Amino acid sequence: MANINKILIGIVVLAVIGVVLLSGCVEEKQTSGNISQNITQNAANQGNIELKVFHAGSLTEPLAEVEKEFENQHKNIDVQREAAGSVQTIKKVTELHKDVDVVASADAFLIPKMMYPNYSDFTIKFATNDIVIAYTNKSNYWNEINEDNWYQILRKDDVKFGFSNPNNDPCGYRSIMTMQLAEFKYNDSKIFDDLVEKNTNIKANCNSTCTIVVPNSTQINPDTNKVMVRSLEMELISGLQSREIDYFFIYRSVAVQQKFNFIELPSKINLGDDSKNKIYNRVNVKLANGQVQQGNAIVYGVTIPKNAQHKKEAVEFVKLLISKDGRKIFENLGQPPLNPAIVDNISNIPIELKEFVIEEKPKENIPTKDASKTDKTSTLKIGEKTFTFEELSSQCEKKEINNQTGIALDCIIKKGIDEPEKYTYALIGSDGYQKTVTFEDTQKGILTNNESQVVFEHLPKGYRVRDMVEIRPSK
Amino acid sequence: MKEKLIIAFAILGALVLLFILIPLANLILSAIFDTQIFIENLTDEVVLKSILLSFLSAFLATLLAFIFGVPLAYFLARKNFYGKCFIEGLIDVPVVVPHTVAGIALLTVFGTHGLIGQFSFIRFVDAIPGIIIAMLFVSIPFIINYSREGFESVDVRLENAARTLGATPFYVFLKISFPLAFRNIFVGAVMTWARAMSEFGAIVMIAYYPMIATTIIYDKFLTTGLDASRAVAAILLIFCLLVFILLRLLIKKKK
Repeated sequence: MANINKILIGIVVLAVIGVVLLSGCVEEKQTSGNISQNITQNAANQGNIELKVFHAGSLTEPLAEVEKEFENQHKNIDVQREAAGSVQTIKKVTELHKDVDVVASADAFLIPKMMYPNYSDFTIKFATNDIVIAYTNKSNYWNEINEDNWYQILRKDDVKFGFSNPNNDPCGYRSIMTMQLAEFKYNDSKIFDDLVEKNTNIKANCNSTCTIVVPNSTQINPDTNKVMVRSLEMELISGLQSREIDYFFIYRSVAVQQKFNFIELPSKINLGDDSKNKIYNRVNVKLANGQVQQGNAIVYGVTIPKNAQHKKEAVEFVKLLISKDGRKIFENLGQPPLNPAIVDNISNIPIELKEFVIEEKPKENIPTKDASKTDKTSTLKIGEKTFTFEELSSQCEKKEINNQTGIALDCIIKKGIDEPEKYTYALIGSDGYQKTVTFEDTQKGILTNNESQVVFEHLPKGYRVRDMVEIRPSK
Repeated sequence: MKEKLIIAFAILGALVLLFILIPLANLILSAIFDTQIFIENLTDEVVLKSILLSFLSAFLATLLAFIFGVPLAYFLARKNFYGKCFIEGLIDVPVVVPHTVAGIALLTVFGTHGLIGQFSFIRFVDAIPGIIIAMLFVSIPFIINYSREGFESVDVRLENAARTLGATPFYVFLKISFPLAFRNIFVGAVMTWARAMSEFGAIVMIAYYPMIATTIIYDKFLTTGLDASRAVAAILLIFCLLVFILLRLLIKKKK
């Protein structure tokens, strides 16, 4: 009898297991391809809605404020935020297939790179940030360090500093970019060598631009007596608070929110100035997974994934984020907002958001009635090449001359001509008016944003060519 | 009637087994079917080293837990005193504390400028002792609680009888109490080891380097994605499974 029982129990257990396994629970391959856009949205108005917002760790505080405000306005919506590194945040959507309604990344470029086209098709840039060096008043040399000598202080043997793992966290690769850019800024070609190369296996190759190569995380192999590397910037905070490190590279916002003391770095190296992308572009970082991150100003991006369950509510949330109220929250917490927010594909964003954003650059192939004229005013021919003004203004630094700001003229010429010193240049307006100048002259000139007018510091007003369409070099 | 009850229980039990089995089998199988990545990771020295480091650190943590935890368990099982409830509650706290909080707490004590760390000649931050200390903190409740139950189930009269026959207290502990409670202690040690193996949150706070298996799984997820991290996770699981089965067989034989 006992034996029969044993057999019976065994059979039942095995049968249940067998049935479930055979019904195909084990191998459930997920198709990561096309995700249906037809998600039901009628969950609204039916009691509480859980709005999932996944975001970069450095957005935790401002988004908590936005959440509070949002829940005040929409009593039936419960915002559930989840913070992680930006890469991980996006991977939660693209690899773990979690249901997410809003994704906010500390690097706006990651959204198009990792989510287009299957998971998203627009990115709204809404705030900026910059790299600072945080410390406490227990850090060694804290009362000596300043904007001009920080790299000397970090070099000292009794100073330990930290940055986050470049492979895992944009703040990490930006920190090492800052240290590399410092070599140009302070004219000291040993800064990166002494701070990074000597203490880790992260190496830089520099010619006119620098490529920093980051090995696999296991092989970064930091000299733990001198530097602390952690997966995420947030984990370094406890390092500073427990005096494990004296200084660490971190976003301004985090330093402000954590009430750390911090040194502001010059805008040429802090990645905080959108108009200095040309300088930042001199550095890029090759990560262990092969991706190359170009030095660019830090811009936060937000998107609503295509498979969002609560599209309507997500739109409301983003709307608050980029509205005046949202901007104020970001301002107070050390993350300067972009006013207005900038979107890459304006045709793809929900219609309710259109009034709050401007488009990054006009689409080139939109046929208009007066196509020839539009072409003339939006592009500039330099030697054999043609550029849009947007390209030029994003790649060249801005200067101010006679109370007018514009794009540095010599930089514009360098874009189109290889050895610019060898030529003189005819600046030609759309009406045919032209003036000839030397390359030296152009170093004191700008191209203003409105009217595409050239302005020189030292030349008479006659040289102010309006509506310039071409720069023609001659020997 | 009796059979019906047993069959009902068997069905419920089978569902529980499935609940455990399906996610694990799914993880391991889908990793193995992704053969190329699986082999790549299986032959990757860095991965294997990290798993070995996990095993070793967890073992050392268990050893420490055994040396310090078992005497405490015996004491708690035999003595009643004012505030015992408090002590027993305290022992359970590491199980409840969020891992990152445990990590921060340990860092403030064992860090270079921490309460203990500043006097210690052993270095904890970004070093193996840090890993062990974090593992020990989160896993020691298991061996204490299991052992205490074991000692409580040993009849005190047996110990007393031995004492009347002239055995020293230590001799009694070694020859009577410990062997009788051994099964509980052993299971407690296995649980301690297992808990130590699985720890991640507390460890990354105090020792991101050298990287143990769980840190590598997390890092691979962040850098290369789910596939690579799943492969390492599967390898780790398979090794752990082998160890578990081996230990179960061992204790069965002993019995």
